[in-house]
Amino acid sequence: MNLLTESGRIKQGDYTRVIYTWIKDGKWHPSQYKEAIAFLNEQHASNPSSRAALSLLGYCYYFTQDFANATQCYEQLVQLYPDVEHYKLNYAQCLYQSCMYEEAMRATFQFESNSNYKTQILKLQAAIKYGEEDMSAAKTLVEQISNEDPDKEVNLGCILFKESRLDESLAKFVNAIQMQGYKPDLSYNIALCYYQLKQYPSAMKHIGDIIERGIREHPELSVGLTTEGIEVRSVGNTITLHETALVEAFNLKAAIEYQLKNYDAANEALTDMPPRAEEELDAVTLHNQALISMDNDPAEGFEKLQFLIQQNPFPPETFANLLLLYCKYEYFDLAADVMAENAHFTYKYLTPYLYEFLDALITQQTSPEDAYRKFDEMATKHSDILRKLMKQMQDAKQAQNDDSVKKYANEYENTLELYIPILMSQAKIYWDLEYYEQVEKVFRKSVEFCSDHDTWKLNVAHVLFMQENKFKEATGFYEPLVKKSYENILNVNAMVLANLCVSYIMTGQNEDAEELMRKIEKEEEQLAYSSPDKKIYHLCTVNLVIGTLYCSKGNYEFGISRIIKSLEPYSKKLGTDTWFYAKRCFLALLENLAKQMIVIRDSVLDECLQFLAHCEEYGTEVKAIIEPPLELETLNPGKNTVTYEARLLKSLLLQIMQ
Amino acid sequence: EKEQLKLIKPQFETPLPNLQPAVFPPIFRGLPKPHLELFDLDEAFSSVQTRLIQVANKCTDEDLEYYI
Repeated sequence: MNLLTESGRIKQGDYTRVIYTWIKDGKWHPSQYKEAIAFLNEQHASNPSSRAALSLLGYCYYFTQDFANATQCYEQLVQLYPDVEHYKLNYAQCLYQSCMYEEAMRATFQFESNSNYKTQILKLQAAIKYGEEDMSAAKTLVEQISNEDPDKEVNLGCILFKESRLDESLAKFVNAIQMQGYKPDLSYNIALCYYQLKQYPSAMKHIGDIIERGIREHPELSVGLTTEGIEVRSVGNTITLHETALVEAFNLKAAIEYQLKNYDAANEALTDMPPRAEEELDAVTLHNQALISMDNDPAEGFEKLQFLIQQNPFPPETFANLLLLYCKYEYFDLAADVMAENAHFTYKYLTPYLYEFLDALITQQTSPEDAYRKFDEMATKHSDILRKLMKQMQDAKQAQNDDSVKKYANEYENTLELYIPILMSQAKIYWDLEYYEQVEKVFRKSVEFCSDHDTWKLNVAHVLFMQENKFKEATGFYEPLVKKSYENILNVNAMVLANLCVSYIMTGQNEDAEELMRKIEKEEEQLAYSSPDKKIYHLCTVNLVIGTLYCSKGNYEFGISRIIKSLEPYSKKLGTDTWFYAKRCFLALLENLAKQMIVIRDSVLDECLQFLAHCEEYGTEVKAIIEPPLELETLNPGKNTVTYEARLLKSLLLQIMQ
Repeated sequence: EKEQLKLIKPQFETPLPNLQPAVFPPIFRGLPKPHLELFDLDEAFSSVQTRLIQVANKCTDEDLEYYI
């Protein structure tokens, strides 16, 4: 009998004091609202037409942002008390908060023309139109607000923002904050304008203000405690939380850090946020969590994004991000399905550029020729724009107009960032077919724009390298990439270091190769000293690449000994990738031995057996293949280990030796 | 399926267009919030409670079904 025990806790005659105290304290401790809600629900159940129960329930639900339940309360109150106007207003407001814009608008039409709530109705209608992204209607309504009302200035600022008139919007918000003094929501709006204008330090300053005040005035919101590893209870979605603008500010901070590629700082901004349970999270926070978790836990990231695009509404970025991530993980079929099933979203949420790009990527799976043509059209369009901007930049320089130079330089940068993915996807079609000369041609056409771009230089180097007769030229492209980070050589991609060593060896610069390898070895030793548990594969990769080179040229004794050496010590060097390259060489060795094309000394074969036994020993926890994040059927976990494969290779080798 | 052992093919970098984090839109102003109505809850709720107790007291074992 839950009913008697809950209500029985409060003495009769004490109801008013206890319930209103709960409601008062609820602003700081949402659990108090929950107490009130539990009690009021019992009263409502035993007397469904109790005005007091419904009104207070509606209030508590509203202030815990449970708008669906609040809507129901006010709907009943409107039916029971059709003369009480503020119930109608609250009902309409709850519908608006639930994003049921059409229903909310209909509800605002239910007032007498001489209503006392004219201004509130006007503002609510404007908010509904703003929510529906109907900016001209929203503007017409906002302009009817009295000039003395500071909200008018703010709301005009919001509309200007949505129309991408950022400077004007910013001016409105700055003006409003001068009129009214500090307000967290205004500070957020200003920060948001700076974010869109890419003036991140100014945005960060305002975000800092919001956070600092939030911490000072609301210590109960537990800002930063989760990051410090302290287990804290959810602070709930109270209106108080909403009024501090902390959730908005922390998401904006995460967004800025993400744009600056400071992913750890972005993650920290999200964990610094006042703690809430996962089911309480708003769509923006959930989206940003998904984006940041992609590197560590792609399966979870996908799950969140897939959940979000079934919600109404979801952050507009969700759709494009989900599609791009599907493509990144090569789930082209899933991307194609989502696009086909949500044609209306493709128009609403994808820029023409993104639509064309995704379309070409997906086409590539069925028709590389068509995809190549599509990428080529896009590339041509973008190189025209780049050329035009370059000309405008030169003209502005001659006219010594610094502002214009800066503006065109900025646009040029942005366009180049759009051009690079097109160019690389186009080149990759030939790369996959191993038409390296064609890839080189594609790059030669783009040299005028990209010669300073690191990704471009890297891919050019790879293409020269793979042709096997242009090691000198490849050195010329790899070397600057390595030299640039010579002091932190482990920050350079291991494959770049390896290919540079091979290029040195192939052009007779063995000393340079040896020096580079010594440098890597030294840095790895230092790292092993400071963080002994960290796996580091750089020198190992270099040896694997060199070993493979010798094996492929038929010098198995030297090549295989390099491979064997590369994986020592096994506890640190045995990984999925390194095993993959090592086993390729062993398979080639086995094949050549079986065909009796080569003869290997017994001592070397014994070393091989020993090596495979070591891999067997250390490889129980190392997967042979990393499974993609969304695969339903998993590989046999016993077979998907280095131990299993090493044992297989060993038995093959033993057979051949007999 | 099988091909000759060749040089290790490095990974060709194909950067995708940047992913975009989400942000809240600018905060719109002046929305009406419900105000807290004041009721005498002891009066509003006690009658219900008293009624329930009265009903409960009147019940005998035979009325159990009605009571529940």
